[in-house]
Parts: sequence; structure tokens; C-alpha cells
Amino acid sequence: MEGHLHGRRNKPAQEETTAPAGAQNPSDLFSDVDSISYLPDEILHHILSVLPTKLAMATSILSKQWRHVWCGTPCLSFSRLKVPIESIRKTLASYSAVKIILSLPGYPNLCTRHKESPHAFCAFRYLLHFPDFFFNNPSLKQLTLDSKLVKMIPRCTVSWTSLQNLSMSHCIFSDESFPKILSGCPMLESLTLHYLRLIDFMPECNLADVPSLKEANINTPYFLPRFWCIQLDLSRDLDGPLKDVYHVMLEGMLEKFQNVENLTVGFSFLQRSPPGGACCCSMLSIADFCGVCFQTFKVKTLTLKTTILRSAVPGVAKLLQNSLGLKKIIFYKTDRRLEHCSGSFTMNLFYYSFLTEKRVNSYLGPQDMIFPASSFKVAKPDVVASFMELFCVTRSSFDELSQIALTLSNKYKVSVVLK
Amino acid sequence: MSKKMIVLKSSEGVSFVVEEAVARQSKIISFLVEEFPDRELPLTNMTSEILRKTIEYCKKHVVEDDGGGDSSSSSSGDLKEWDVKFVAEIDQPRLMDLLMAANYLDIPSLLDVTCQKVADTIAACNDEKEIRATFNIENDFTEEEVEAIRMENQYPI
Repeated sequence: MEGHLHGRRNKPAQEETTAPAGAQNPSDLFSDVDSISYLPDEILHHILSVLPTKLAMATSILSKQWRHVWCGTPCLSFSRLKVPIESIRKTLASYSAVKIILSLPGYPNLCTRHKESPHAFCAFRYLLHFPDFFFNNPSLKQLTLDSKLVKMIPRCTVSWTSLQNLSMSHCIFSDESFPKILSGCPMLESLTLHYLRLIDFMPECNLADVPSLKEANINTPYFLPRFWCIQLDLSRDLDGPLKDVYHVMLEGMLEKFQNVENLTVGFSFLQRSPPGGACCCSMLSIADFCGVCFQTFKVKTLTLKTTILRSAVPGVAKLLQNSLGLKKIIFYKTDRRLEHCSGSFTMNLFYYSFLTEKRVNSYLGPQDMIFPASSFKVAKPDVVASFMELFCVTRSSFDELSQIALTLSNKYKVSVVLK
Repeated sequence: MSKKMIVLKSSEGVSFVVEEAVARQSKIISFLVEEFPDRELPLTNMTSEILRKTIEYCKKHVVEDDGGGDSSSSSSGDLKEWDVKFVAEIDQPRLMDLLMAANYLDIPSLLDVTCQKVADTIAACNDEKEIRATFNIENDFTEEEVEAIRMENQYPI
């Protein structure tokens, strides 16, 4: 502040007099002239878009000119802010964004500012239930939601005709949400799903067709009955759903990814996951076992963010076998924690993994095991990588490979990147 | 190998001789160079001071194909650090001029850096009074209007 005033007064006189209009800063002429408001709206939007939405909104109080400037900011971002739900709702109401990023802490006690009667948009006191106009935004291009407080259950037709990039994490879904949302996104190219919580589950629940989808990043139990959402004590519930239910559900699900070129799967897609993220059952492995017909995928780059437990291997193998155009596998060695067992978190993970193994065994039977079942152990990433390489080359049946999986030494065409 | 040079002229009529690769980071100059090769390009809405600054930035950020320059060897981390220092040294009115220059010449990275700096300045303010004071924004609201907007926003800052 002091600095720039000082600098201005020291400016050579002829520069001030010869300064032409246009892009020239008028504040060079008068020291007390507004130095920012003359900027074109597009630049002000650029500036506001890198500010947290809370601050961008606060600029509406500066002057009459600034009153509605923030509304045109192409990016709306609530990130880890202690903002009341009511405010978010109001913000969305006065806003037509191209890009919305909503990331809230999952703890209701941070949002206790507004304790008044439940608003029309809030189904529960702390849940953010989006209003109809939110689902009808043709200019929206990117939507990122990461909040346990968000309920993504549209009650109207969804119309996000420009949406290309959709990422949803931890949100609450109903059985109708998927088809409703995805059928309203004809341009969707990239879809990311992380740990969604489904309520009111129906077996017929299915993803709608999205032929434009090029990139999918799936790390969510697609099929998660309500009691699994609520129940944390897994040991008491080891009854999986019926095999034919799986069959119908998985077949439908796999169809939706047929045009995806860039597929990232996390461990709960390959393996079922209870809340908390530990693994429960290998969905794809079970799909394989149930005789679900896998069609050919167009996947070129496959990213696996999973600890490869034995239970996930058949699923991965099937995926590889049906991805004829595969060029590259990126494999994240996610869980060293399982190898070096220590601490309570690790113990929990270990416990869940153990249950996974037990559960998958009940589906698959011992003949499908590829890594030694005698001792519970996480497969070594490099062994799995070699196994996948081998699989891509030969594309032979899974059973034939199971014997040689542990003694791998060949060179292959598909590049496997370990991260 | 000799590099092609072009001449840019500031509003005061001062000429700057710049390597073409450096100047081509501006999409506008890139276009003008193709349309009018071998001609001085007059940038009548830019003072020498701002033009010099813009060229300094472009020189630092030029990606050289022949590997002959020393500036191109900077890592992206170094470049970021350099950018931060670059905008930190500029006082506010010149920062605005530079921002406008980046916008006019269409140099996206420079526009990002300068906008970020302005955003940081806004974020560093404690309340709207401080923002107004920093940028000399005149408050043309009445007390009641301010209160009404405050209620509407629900975001007391």
C-alpha cells in the first residue's frame, strides 16, 4: 500500500502525460484512483476464480460495480470451509457456474450455525440436498463433489448438457440417482466415483448408457445394500447377496464401460468395500465366477490403485483378458502398510483383508486361488505385475496360468508401470 | 546459428529488439509477426517500463529448441520461484498494467501469475474496508444496502 503510493508519485512526468487510453492504467494519472475496478469483467473473474468462493462472494460488498461481478466467476469452490449449508444453497441459487467444486468436511458439528427448522432443500438438518435448478445447468462443464453431507438424489430430470467431467466422492445416492444423473450428461467424458453411499438399494439399479465416456475412475462399491452402509461390524454379516443378483447387476455395469479408454479402478471395485475403505469382496472376481459374460473393452490405459489380494486377481485377470487394445498398465503399490503390519489402523485393514479372503473363498472355491492360500499374505506387487504382463501376452485361460503365476520370467509387449 | 530478431515499440517510441522465440509467447505478436514480417510492431498501449517487464518475463519463460540458452534450463520449480519473486517486486499499479499487458498480448501464463498476485492481495485483507483501501475502491453503498448484502451473503468477513 505505502509502497505503491510512493512508487506512483515518483513516476517520471512525461510518462504520465503521454500515457494513451486503453490498456493503460489510469491509476498512473491520479494517485487516489481506483486501481482495480476498471479491469474488464473477464479479468476480474479470472482473479476471483482463484479465490475461495467465500472471499469471491465477499467482494459483492465493495461497491455497486462489484455487486454482481462474482456471480460470473467460472469456478465455484467450497473447500474445507466451515460454511453453513444454507449459505451454499443460497450461493448456488445466485449462480450459474461452469465449474463447481464442492468439498466439505464430513462432520455435521462444523455446520451447526443454522439450527433453524429444516429448509426445503435440506432433507435432513445437515444434509445438502440440491435444489432442482442445480440439476438444470446447461453451462456446467466440471462438477466435483466431495462431501458426506451431499445427497445426490435429483427429483427432477437432470440436464447437464455440457458436463464433461464429473467426480463424486462420499456422496449419498439412491437407486435412481445413477440413471437419472448419467442420462442427463450426454457429453460426459470423465467419470470419477469414490466411496459413494447407496441408500434404498434395488438390484435393478444400473448405470445409464454413456457412450461418450472416455475415462472412468471407479473406486466405489457399486452395489452396497443399506445394511452394509450402516453396519460396521462385518463379522456379523457374512451373508452376501444372491449370485443371480450379482449376475444381473454386474453384467449391466460392465456394459457401461465399453467405450472407456482410460480406466482406473480402486480396490473396492475389484473388491467389495465396507465403509472405511477396507476390502470385502472381489466384485469382478465374483462376476467371473458367476459366469457373467464380459464383453470386450476398449481400455488402452488401465490404472490399478489397489492392493492386490488374492481375491482381486481373477477380476483383474478377466479385465485384462477382455481388453484387447491395452497399451499400458499403471499399478500403484498402495499398501505397504499391509506388508509391515503395525498400528491400529493397519490392524483394522488387516482384519478387513482377512474377512475379504474368507468371503471370496466362499464364492470362488480353492481351485481359483492363484497365490498360495496357506498363509494369508498380500501378493507382492512385482509378482502381480509380472503376472499381468504374462496375462496380456498370452490371453490364455485363467486356469492354465494359475500354475505358473508364481514363477514368472518372461518379457512382454504391454508396458507395466509400477508406482 | 543466428536467431531472428523482431522489434517492438513502446508507447513512448522506444524500440526493443527481441528474439522472435521470446516474443512469440504472446499469441498476438505471434500473429502479427506472420502478418507483417520484418516490420516494427508498435505497442501503443504499453509503456517502456511495462514492455521491458513483459519481455523480461518472456525471456525467462522461453522454451528454446536448440538448447542454446541458459534460461531454458531452469526447472519448473525454479521458474515458479522466479515468478513469485518477479511479481513480488512490482508495485500495485504496475502489476495492474502488467496484468493488462498480459491480457492484451495474450500471454496466458503471465496473466495467471499476475491474477494470482492480485488474488493473494485480496485474500490478505482482513475485511472489505481493507480491500477498498488497498485498491482505492469507492464505497457507493449506503449503510442499509451494505447490511442487506451482508444478510444475503451470510458470509461475514
